[in-house]
Amino acid sequence: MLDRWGTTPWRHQALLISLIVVVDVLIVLATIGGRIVLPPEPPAAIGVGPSVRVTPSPTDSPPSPPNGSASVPPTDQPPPTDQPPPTDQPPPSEPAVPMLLRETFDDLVMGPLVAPGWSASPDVESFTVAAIPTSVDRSARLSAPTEGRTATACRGLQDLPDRYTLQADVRLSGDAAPGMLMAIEAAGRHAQIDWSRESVRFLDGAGSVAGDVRLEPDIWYRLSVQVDVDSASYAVAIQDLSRPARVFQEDGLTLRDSAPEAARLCFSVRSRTTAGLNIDDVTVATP
Amino acid sequence: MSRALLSGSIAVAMLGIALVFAPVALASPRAVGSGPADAAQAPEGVLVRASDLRVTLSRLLGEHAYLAMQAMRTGVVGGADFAAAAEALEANTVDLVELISSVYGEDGGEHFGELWRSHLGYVVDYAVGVAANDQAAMDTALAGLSRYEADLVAFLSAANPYLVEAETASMLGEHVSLLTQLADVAEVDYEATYATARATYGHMFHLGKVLAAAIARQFPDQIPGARLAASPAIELRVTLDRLLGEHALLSVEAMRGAAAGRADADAARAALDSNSADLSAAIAGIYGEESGVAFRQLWDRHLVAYLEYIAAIQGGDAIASEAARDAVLDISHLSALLSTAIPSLDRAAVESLVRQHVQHLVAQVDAYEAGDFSTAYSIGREAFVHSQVMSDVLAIAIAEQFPDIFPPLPDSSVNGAGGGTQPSPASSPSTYMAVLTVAALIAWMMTVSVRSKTGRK
Repeated sequence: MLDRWGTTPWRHQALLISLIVVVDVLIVLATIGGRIVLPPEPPAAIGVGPSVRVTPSPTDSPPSPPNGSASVPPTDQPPPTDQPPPTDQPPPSEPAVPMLLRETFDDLVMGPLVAPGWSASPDVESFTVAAIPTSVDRSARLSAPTEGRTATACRGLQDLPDRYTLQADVRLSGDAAPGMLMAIEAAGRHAQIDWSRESVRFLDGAGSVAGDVRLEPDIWYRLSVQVDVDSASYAVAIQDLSRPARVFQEDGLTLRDSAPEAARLCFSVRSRTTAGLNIDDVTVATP
Repeated sequence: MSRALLSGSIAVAMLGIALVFAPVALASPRAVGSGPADAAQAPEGVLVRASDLRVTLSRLLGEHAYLAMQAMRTGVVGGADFAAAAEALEANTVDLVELISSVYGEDGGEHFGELWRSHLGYVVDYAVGVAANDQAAMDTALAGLSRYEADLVAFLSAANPYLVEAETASMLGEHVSLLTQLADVAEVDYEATYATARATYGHMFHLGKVLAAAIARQFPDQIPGARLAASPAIELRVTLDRLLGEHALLSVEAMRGAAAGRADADAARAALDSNSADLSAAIAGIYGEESGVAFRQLWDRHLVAYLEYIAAIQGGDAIASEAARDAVLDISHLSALLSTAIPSLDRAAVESLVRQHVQHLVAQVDAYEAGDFSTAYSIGREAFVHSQVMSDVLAIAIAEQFPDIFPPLPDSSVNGAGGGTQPSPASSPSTYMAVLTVAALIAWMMTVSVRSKTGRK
């Protein structure tokens, strides 16, 4: 570099410059020749259109099949290890499946989250739009910045059909304490995933069961909950989005009875010292 | 969250120039908040030379300024190239985060990344507010930017005790102010937009200098050469890096503006001319007024050829387009001038370097014309990276030619091992050239690699 000046003859330098040139020519040729091509992507818009896209048409959903325990079909085969998880593609079933709710948070302005249907406690400052993972690919962030504090955000839903699937991407950060992570409630029954340092837990009737999986901080996970109200059961799938393979699946869980209230889904994080939960790409759809 | 993103980029690959140069590869990451007392506990080995850190950081920050402008401009009008612009901006952010992580560890880099992305988000919101004349949206975004400034100053102050909080706050405040000015004038005053973009770009090089100096002071063993990083030789290198890098960025702007028939095309061209004037002045400052004028004439010819090429391809005449392309690639007069002024430079080598630069610019506008925006932005970034190869070669040769004007002022020791001012094998010009070659190869290989990866979740 320029740090020291040697006495190498300049003809040597010329040769080396020529070598650089050869390499750069390779780069240019590769570029011009189209060897280096990014896959085309659909254009994105910012600040236009609603972020919340609700299709309150449960009556349009196909009839429920006969009773049976809910299970999550093994839809996602692990892709080759050099390929990322298909997070950037719309859900494969999207065109054919009635979407009851789809929330990307991408078109919401930064700061306190203001969007129809959402409520947060203890205050609006605890639920914000964050530039994570990028400044335009945004997520919602639930913050519990002080010791022992719980922050919760809930989204009211239209009446849900007998069978539906909730999916959301979540990422914990900081030092969380055990507690509820995500729940969905409708028709007096609800499914819930709890987080603890050791493992996740799922409500199972009046009790709960531990799942053999831990959600690590700063990693995005895709949580899928498939509910079958008729059979009072639900199934959970958890996928580590930093790795191609699904890491966990739990079928045959029993919905817990609760007081009949309007349908809603909730996210929550409780801090040991300070903790946060990023939420993204929330969908509710018929299976 | 639905967009593919580059997880790394060629700019980071070009950081390989610095990393390959280091006798020892990356040291272990450090925790944020570690101060000078901890420096003694730092792992052995050189992370990067202070001068390279300064150049790399400054260039990434400078590129950020133009990429932010591009994203804002296309974002507020819902341009077809917005996704590609946002992707390029994010790739630049990833490079910055990786650079910060290499010094302050992954947690530090992650924290920095969240803060950095938040300011981009607020700036985008502000630009949207301006476009919609929505004062409440603008106020919300400004409040967010204010919080961002405070948070980033707090982060940097905690990470590095040699950063003066008030000075850091002032610099970041100026950066945010310049970005909001960009949004204010983006759709109403194109000349002001480009003038502000140029100011923002230049300001980022100052910010890079201050940050790099503080980091080098904090970790003198891992990042040696703090004195050299402020020497006239490195100032020359940074000046040429800044001007030639900006030339690449503004050429991209002017060519795309002309190709798309954008309303700001003339302003982009005027800004490019302004950059040419600065470049000529720098040449004149070293070689005299006459040389500066001669350089400017040939340089302008090079710029006119770009635009004539675009006009030719828009005319749809294949033969005229080929002729115009040949004219663009004919930079023999320019290389003759440079190799005459700097006898140590081989004319053919200079010509090839400049031709590659031209080929980058032509390739990016061809992709832009074809609607392949992702490729256009990606090659645009490559053009910016390549400009550093050109400027470094020129800076080395000029400093060698005029050692009295551009003394390197080496530190009394390297890597804390004592020693004098004898050139080390790793720092001779020939070794540097070899390193550049290897780095270019690495850059190319990484380019191919990172483009097969998408997604950040």
